[in-house]
Amino acid sequence: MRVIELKNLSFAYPNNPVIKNLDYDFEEGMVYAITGKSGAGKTTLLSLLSGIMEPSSGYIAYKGYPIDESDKYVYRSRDVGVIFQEYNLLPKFTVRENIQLSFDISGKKLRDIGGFKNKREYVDELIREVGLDPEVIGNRRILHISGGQQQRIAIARALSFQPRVILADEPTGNLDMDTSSEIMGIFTRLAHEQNRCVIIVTHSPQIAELADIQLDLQPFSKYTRT
Amino acid sequence: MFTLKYALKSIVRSLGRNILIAIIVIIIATAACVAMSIQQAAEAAAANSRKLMDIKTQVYIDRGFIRDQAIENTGSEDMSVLMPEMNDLMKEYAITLDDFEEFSKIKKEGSDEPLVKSYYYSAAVSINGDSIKKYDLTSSTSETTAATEAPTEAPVAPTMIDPQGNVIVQEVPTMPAPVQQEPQQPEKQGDFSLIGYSDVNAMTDFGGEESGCVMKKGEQTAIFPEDTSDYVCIIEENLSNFNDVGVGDTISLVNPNNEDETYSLKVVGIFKNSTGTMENGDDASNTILTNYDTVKGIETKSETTNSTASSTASSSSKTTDTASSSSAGSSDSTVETKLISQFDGTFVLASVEDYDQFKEELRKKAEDEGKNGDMYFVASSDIAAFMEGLKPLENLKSFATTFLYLTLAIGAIVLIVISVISIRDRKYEIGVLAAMGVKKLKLSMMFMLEVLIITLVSILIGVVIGSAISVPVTNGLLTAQVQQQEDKDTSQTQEPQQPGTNERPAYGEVSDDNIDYVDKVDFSVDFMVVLKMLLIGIALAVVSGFTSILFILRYDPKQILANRD
Repeated sequence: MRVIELKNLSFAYPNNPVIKNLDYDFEEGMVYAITGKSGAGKTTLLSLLSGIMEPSSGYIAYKGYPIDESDKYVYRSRDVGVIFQEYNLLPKFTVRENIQLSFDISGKKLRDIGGFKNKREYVDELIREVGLDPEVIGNRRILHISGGQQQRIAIARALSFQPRVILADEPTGNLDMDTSSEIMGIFTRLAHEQNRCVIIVTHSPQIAELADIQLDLQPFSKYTRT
Repeated sequence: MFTLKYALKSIVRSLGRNILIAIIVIIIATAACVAMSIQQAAEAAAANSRKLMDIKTQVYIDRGFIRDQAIENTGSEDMSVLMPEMNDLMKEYAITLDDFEEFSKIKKEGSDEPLVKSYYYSAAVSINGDSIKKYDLTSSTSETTAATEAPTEAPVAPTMIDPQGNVIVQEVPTMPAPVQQEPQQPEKQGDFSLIGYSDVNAMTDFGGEESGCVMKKGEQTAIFPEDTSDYVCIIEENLSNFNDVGVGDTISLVNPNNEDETYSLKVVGIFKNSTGTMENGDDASNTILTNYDTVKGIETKSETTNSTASSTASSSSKTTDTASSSSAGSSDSTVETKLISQFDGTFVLASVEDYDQFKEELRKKAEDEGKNGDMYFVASSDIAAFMEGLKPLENLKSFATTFLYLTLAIGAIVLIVISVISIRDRKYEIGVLAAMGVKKLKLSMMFMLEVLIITLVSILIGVVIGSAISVPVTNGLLTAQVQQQEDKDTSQTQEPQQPGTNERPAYGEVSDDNIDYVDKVDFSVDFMVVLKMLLIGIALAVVSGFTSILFILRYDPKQILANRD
C-alpha cells in the first residue's frame, strides 16, 4: 500500500538544482535503500521526505494527502520517524528521557500504543527492541554511551511514537559491519513484521544489498530501481 | 504539561548556567525589593500624616497681600513709604474674634457638619507690675520703671540673632507672619505679658517638662472660675519666688501708660517653665496667665478709663488710631493710653483633607465678599513639622526610585544578554526539537517558561532577603539623610535668608526644634511589594523571553543540524 508519493518533486539550492521532477511511490512493508554519488541529492531527498525542507516545486503526499506548511509539524512529530546521520540526541538528557521526549512531542498517549502500564515500561521495551538493556543503559546520559549505542537509541527514539514511515540517513555510517548488519536486521523486522515503510540513505553497497529495493539516485533525479 | 516538564528538566540539567542567572536575578530582586520597601515606607509615612488627628491651624492676613496692596495704594516700593501703609492695612484687615468665630462655622463640603473640630484663642496685653517686680536676674535691683523705659524687645515679632549678637529683623514682606491682629502697640511696653486663654486647650505651652510648662501648685483649670468677675491668674515659679508671692495672694498690675489704672488678680497657681520662653517668644518668668474674659475685661475697662480721661483732657482727643502714633513720650493730651490686646486663635481640624478644604473655603469666602482670595494665609505647624520630618524619607524615596529604575534597566539588559548567549549555546537543541516536530512557538514558550521559572524563584528568594535587610538598610540610609538634613538646617539658620530668595512654605513656618525627623522605619515587605516584584519578574522574563523568541524564529533546523559544530 502506497504511503508516500513524490509528485514531480524538484528542489534547488540557489543556482544549484539538485532534484528535478522526481516521481516515485513508497509502499508499506518495504525497506528502501537510496544510494548514489555525493551531490546526487540523497540527504536532500531525505530532508524533503522528513518535512524539514520544502520542495521548490511538486509535492510529497502522505497517505494520499500532500504535506503543506500547516501540518508539517504534525507529520514530523507523529507520522515520520527520522534517524539522523549524527543521531541528534540531546546530550544533557538520559537515554530514557531522549526516547520519552520524542513520544511526548508526538502527543500520543500510552493507551494509543496499548499493553504498557506506564511510559517507563514502554520506553524500556523500545530499548530492548533495539538490542540494549534498559537497566544498564537507561539512566545514562547520551555522552556516556558509545556511537553504536547512540545509533540504536536514535532508532528507538524514532520508533517511540510508532510512525508508519522511518527515514534513516546513513544509519550505519560509523558502525562496524556486524553492528551495521544488526541495525539493518531491526529495519527489516520493522518493515516486514510491523508493516512499516523504511527508507534509508546509504553509500554502502553492502548495506544497500540488505534492502528490499535499491534506488540509485543520479544527478538531476534520474534513478535506477534494482 | 509537556512544555512545563521539559522546562523543569532543562533547568535541572543546566544547573550551573541557571544558578548564575538566578544569582544575578536574586541580586537585582533584593536591590529592587529594598528600593520598593523604601518607597512604600515613604508613602505609608505620608499616608499617616493624612490621618493626623487634631491639626492645629492658624489663619493670618497674608503679608504678601498686604505689601501688594500697599504698593498699589502708595505707588511706591520704598519700604519707608510702604511700612506705615502696611501697618494701616494690617489694622484694617485684622482678624477679630467675630471673624474667627465665623470661620469656625464653615461647613464641610456637602454636609452640615462644621469643618472645624474645635477652636480656642487667647488675648495678650503688655502690662506693668504694681505690687510685683519684673523677674530679671541680670538686673534684679532695677526698679519696675517700665513706664519710662523704651521697649527693648517686641515679644511677638519674628526676629533672629546673628552669631555676632545683632538682632536681625526679617524685612521680607512676602513671608506670612502672625498678623491676625497686628499688635497695636501702646506707646509704652509693659514688663509683663498677661495672656488670657479661652479654655484649657488654648494653653498649649503646657506640654510637659521637656517642651514647656508644668503646674507646680494648683491646677491649670483654676484660671477658669465660674464667676469671671473675680480676676485670677497663675504665675511662673521664678516670679513667685522673686516677689515672694504664693497661691492665695493677690497681685496688682498697672497700665504702663496710666499709673492710675490698676488691676488686682488673685494668684491661684504656680507653674514652672523649663525652657525660659513661652511659645510666642515671651519671657516665661514674666508671663502671667489668666482667662480670656479677664484680659478682655481689663481691655474694656482700660478703654472706658482712657475714653473718660481723653474726653476730660481735650474735646478733640477722641481720635482713634493711636497705635500708629509715633509720638511716644509726647506731652500731647490726645495720646491714648488704653491697653490693647493681641488676639491669637487656633482652629483644630480633624484631617489634612479638612485642612485643605478649610483653606479653599476661606479663599472662596474672601472672594465672595469681594476681597482678594489670597488675603488669608492658613498655616499649620503640625503639618509643616510633620512634612519637614518626612524630608529625609522623601529624599531617600527619590533616591530609591532612581536606584530602582537603574537596577531594573541593568537587570533587563543582563537578562537579555544571558538569554541570547543561552539560546546560541542551545542552538543544536533547538534544531533537534524543531526537527522532531516541535513548533517554533512552542519552543519559544519552553524557553520562556524556563526563564520565567528561574526568575520567579529568584525573585521570591530576593524578596525574602530584601525583606530581611530592607529595614536595617533603610534605617542606615535614613540616619545619613537625617544628619544631612540637620546639617543643612543648621547652616540655613546661621545664614539669614536674603530678601526675595525665600518661598512661602506650604504649611507655614516651623521651628527646627519642632521637627521630629522620621529617622526610623518599621515595616515589613507587604503584599503589594511582593506583587510588584512578581510583575517585574514576569516583565523581565517576558523581555528576555522575547529576545529568545526572535532568535528561535530565525533558526532553520536543517541548517542548525547541518552545521552542528
